[in-house]
Amino acid sequence: MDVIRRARATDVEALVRLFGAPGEPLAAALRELTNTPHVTLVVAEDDNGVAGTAQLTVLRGLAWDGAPRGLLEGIRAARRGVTSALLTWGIDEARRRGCTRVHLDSGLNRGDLRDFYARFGFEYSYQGFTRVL
Amino acid sequence: MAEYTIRRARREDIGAIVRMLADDQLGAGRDDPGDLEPYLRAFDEIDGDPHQLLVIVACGDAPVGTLQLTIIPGLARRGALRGQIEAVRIHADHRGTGLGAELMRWAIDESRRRGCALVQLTSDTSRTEAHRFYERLGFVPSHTGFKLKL
Repeated sequence: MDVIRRARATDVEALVRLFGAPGEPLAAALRELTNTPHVTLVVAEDDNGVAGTAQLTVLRGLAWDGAPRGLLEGIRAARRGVTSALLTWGIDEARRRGCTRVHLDSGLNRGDLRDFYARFGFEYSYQGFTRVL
Repeated sequence: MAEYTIRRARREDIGAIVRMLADDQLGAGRDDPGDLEPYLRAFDEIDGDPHQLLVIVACGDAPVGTLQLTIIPGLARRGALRGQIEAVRIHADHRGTGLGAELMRWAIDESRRRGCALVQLTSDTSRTEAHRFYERLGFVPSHTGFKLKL
């Protein structure tokens, strides 16, 4: 991986490719993301252009002594090596921002990812619930 | 009959909120209501951020329930906004009254009002009773979560 940098408006096409979603809602979301102070959206670039993306959301809560925690999400990558680079970036960035822990979500029944995440020190810890509105 | 109201938390509510966080199977030992300084700093940050909302259920004027709602933008699901619900607690003396469900429904409605396409929450794998509570409110188990302590 050559570089991990903040996403820009001009990355929309690459992000559309990575998420397989239509461009217009994604462009609006990208604007929202770049204007939200507690969110950092990055892309990973190699010789062929953008090869991955990740979002680090720093959440402040009262629990755990009011310490901030990082939520590493929206990871899309062309290959495993890019995912590794993005995870490493997310952990370092969360630490730099004073987070005492990082959370990472994955789909249900992705036992294959458990070993991969464990290499970065992540432990299976919680169940995620969603309700569509 | 006690009168319950849901409102934004204020600085003077923080002591009561931290006591609720500490009076919990997992919170015990990690939260210390003896020193409020770090919690007040966190509160000031939350209170100054339009995307974050710390609310309480007040009985009269005393906090007896709390929840935090954060609105998070993202690229997944066609760039949908999500409401993240966290740190849900009801004071031991007020459990079993439907207050928790009422507070959750408030957060779901507020997320909808703010244009979210979904609400999400995570719960420690050991909290099986809480899992049933969330499923009764229409939540479905949708992902698993990993944690790294820094």
